[in-house]
Amino acid sequence: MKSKALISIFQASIIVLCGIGIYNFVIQDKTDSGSGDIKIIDSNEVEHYFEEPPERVALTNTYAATVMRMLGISEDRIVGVSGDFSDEKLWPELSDKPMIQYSAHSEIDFEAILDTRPDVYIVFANNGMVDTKGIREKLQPVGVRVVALDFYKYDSLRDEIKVLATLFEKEEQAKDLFEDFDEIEAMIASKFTDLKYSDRPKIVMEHHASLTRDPVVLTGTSQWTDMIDMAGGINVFEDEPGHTTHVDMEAILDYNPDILMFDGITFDIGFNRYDEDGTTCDTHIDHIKGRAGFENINAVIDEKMYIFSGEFAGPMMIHGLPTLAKYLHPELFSDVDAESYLDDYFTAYHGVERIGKFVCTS
Amino acid sequence: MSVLGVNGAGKSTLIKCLNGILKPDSGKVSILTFEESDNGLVNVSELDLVGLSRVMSYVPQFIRTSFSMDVFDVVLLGRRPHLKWRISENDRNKVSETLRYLNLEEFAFRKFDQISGGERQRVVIAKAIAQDPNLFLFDEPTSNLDLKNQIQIMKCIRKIIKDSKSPKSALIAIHDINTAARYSDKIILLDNGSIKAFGSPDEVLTEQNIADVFGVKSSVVLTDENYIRVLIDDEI
Amino acid sequence: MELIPTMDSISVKHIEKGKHQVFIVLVLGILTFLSSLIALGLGSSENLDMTKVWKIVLFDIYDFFMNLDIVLENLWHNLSGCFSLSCNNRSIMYGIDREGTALQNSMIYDWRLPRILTAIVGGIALAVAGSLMQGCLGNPLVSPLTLGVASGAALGAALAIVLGFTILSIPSLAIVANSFIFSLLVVFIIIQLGKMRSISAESYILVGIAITFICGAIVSTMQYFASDAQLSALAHWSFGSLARPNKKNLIFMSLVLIAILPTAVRWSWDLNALSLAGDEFAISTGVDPVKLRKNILIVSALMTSIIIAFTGLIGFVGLAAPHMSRLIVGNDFRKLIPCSAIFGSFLMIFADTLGRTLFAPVIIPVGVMLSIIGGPFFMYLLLKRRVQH
Repeated sequence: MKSKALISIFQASIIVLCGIGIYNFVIQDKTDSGSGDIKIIDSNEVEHYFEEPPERVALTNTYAATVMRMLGISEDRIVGVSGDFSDEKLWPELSDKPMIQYSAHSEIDFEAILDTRPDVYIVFANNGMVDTKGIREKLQPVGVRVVALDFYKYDSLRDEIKVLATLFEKEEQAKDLFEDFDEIEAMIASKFTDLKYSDRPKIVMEHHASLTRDPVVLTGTSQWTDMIDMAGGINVFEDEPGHTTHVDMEAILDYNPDILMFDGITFDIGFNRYDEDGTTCDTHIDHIKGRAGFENINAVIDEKMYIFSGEFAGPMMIHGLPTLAKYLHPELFSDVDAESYLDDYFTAYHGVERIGKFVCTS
Repeated sequence: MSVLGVNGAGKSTLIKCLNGILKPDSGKVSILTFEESDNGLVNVSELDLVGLSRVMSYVPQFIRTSFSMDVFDVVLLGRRPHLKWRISENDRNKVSETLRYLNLEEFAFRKFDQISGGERQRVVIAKAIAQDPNLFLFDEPTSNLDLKNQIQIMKCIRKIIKDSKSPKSALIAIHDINTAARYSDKIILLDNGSIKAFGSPDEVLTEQNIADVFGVKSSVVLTDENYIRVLIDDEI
Repeated sequence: MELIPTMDSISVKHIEKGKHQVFIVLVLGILTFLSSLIALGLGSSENLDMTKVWKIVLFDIYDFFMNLDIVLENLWHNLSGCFSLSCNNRSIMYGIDREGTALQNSMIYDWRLPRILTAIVGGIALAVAGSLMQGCLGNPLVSPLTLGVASGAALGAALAIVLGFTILSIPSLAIVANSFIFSLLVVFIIIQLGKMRSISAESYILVGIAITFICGAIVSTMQYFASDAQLSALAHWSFGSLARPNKKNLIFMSLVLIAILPTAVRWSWDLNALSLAGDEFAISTGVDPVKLRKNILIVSALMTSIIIAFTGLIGFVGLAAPHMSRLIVGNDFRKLIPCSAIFGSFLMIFADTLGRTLFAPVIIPVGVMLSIIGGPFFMYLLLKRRVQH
């Protein structure tokens, strides 16, 4: 009996010791956010303190890099990128920087990270395919600060730009940027002063995962819902929860939308992409037209089907609004050169001429 | 007819070669059949399984039950080699008769996996009877049963042979010498895969043969009811 | 012995029992038919409720018979018109106004009706395949997807979606053809492997598990390197959905099923022998277990592959429908196969309609819905069995 008692005491004390150890470890994690005068709160509500703007930055999505350009932050600071930056025309300095991640959603190569030794790693905050929390827990002990910013949600876009501006002491540039944004939004709002609810076209926007007979649409929290609203339309599925959802074809037929929009991330459109054989867009539009019953939908009858490239979903969203609004309300925007906004965006921020096909129409 | 021998002598193998479960490496298997129309040798290895099952039926040693059916349906399976698709009145009658014959009426609609081992054995025998073959093959029918059931089964088999209208035989692989001696007309004694002796019990079961094959000292007596009993003394 | 003039009481009871079971199966069949009618009336559209649907349908049927002469005259034209994705050409048929708007008609005839028919066809195919598999492998936990049909189909779909490696270059049929061919390939490999080792039922299951692991590994690797668009496409494919097959696909599936079913039914007696008490017992009844097993695997795989190639992975039906029917008609395959078929279609209709209407307009695909129902159902079955014993 004595040996049994000893073993029990031994087991109990091990458990207690482990418990204390884990507790300390967990507590510690929260307080290690650095020190310094520059304080930012990222989109996961984590506070970071910096003594000075970070010299070495790693990022794996092009949205964050774009915002850095918009704020005039020097690209020399970027020490690690992902496979998404391979287009040399758009990212001449970045396309041969060391790759720490294959795409914005794959696993991080920790050795590559240790090699490049960034101070800060910028990553998506609320993306279903990225485990930001896990990344933070892994990189924190190595001394890399994980700053979580999306740059693809309308309501948080400006705040996130401010965060980055504060971090790199570019508040002036941010102010200018917001003025540009305000200008565009004001211009658009001014055309809508007399817009009645019934004048707003009904829109169904499909996600790139949507199959011909199995539709997936963009819903409540998607940035597209906000954009459609600002451009004077109504996303009929805006009340459905989440970012995207699988819906019944019947429901689409039932709403009889005036316009059909598609998220073009999988199509060969966007910067420096021309949908070359002209097939991807047209094939898709024909497929949609060919859906049973769709020949009776307003959008198909009036030939109002549009595919928007991936850039429209990111920091370019404000500059893309005139384009969107013009498609939705051609009469109201007949005097507006929507394309010029897109051109300006590329010349002003990316320093290149805009090339490529950005919107497919039916 | 019983096939006797030690474990591994080839009793089960012989039976399984006969009914097509195992293929013989060399040689042919043929049996004598008496049909009204033809009587002659039927080369068993040339028959397909269905034909084979019309001529002989096999009662295996172990009955595995994964899915269960009513006892009636199990016995009805015995009619399968004879029927096309519909079950005729004749088929049903045969099954009922057989069930009564083996005193299984009360179990007719019970589930096969819910009756005792001895009763299951009888059901499989009933199925074999319903198959209406010329030859019955039994692989160790008594090994898993208690004493009273053992006697009942052997008596049952004898009864089937004796009572049948057309000539039938039964070949039983068995390792209990006395059961074989008591109830068989003929015995095949196997030693190491070949036939050591063949004949009636008193001819085959000599003390010498028993010593050679089984490695035990014994004394063979003829009882009052005129059957052989073997008393085992000791190992050699 | 003279012929017995009247039937033995046991025989009589057997016949009675048989009739009783057939009656129950018929009743179930009628119930399933009724449920499919109800399902036709349910959906996410706000403008189309049950009464309206039935008004439209009955009106159409009435029209059809009233104008039979015009219909027959234009028969060829109409048939080819109907094979296109929309049957609105029917207006040409009678030249009169139809009840309901064009959109409403489209909803009923182009979306709901094919969906329900697909549920019925798919349910029958999967359930029958399931009962065949369970019988031939002697194992009640086997489903038609167990032996690698599902992993082969997933492999084919992944190859098509991620690598663009397709055997048929028609884009709309690429994934379908791939899944179908690869699932059959997997089954072929399993049968060949089964020949090499001993050919018992357990061997087949083990080989199936091994193949499933291998296919799964390849698919996982592809998934890892896929772009997120491809990933979502693959994930969506794996949730079986009845919306995917269009009318042409549906007709194709039905034809294949009709061609294969008689073969399956013909094996009822043999399956009774094989599933009851093992291979030796089967041989003693004149059934060749090796050949039968091989043939059943091929047929079952065909039936299953043709369905899931078009719809995506749908589990549970092949496992549950035979179990449910076993509770009612016992293990006699002559009745088990039809009863499973009925339960299979009922399950599919039920799961699909529930998925469509529960959170309208959001759809929960059939595959997901069945998995949700499946787990607890299975628990219930297991517990019930234990209590019995």
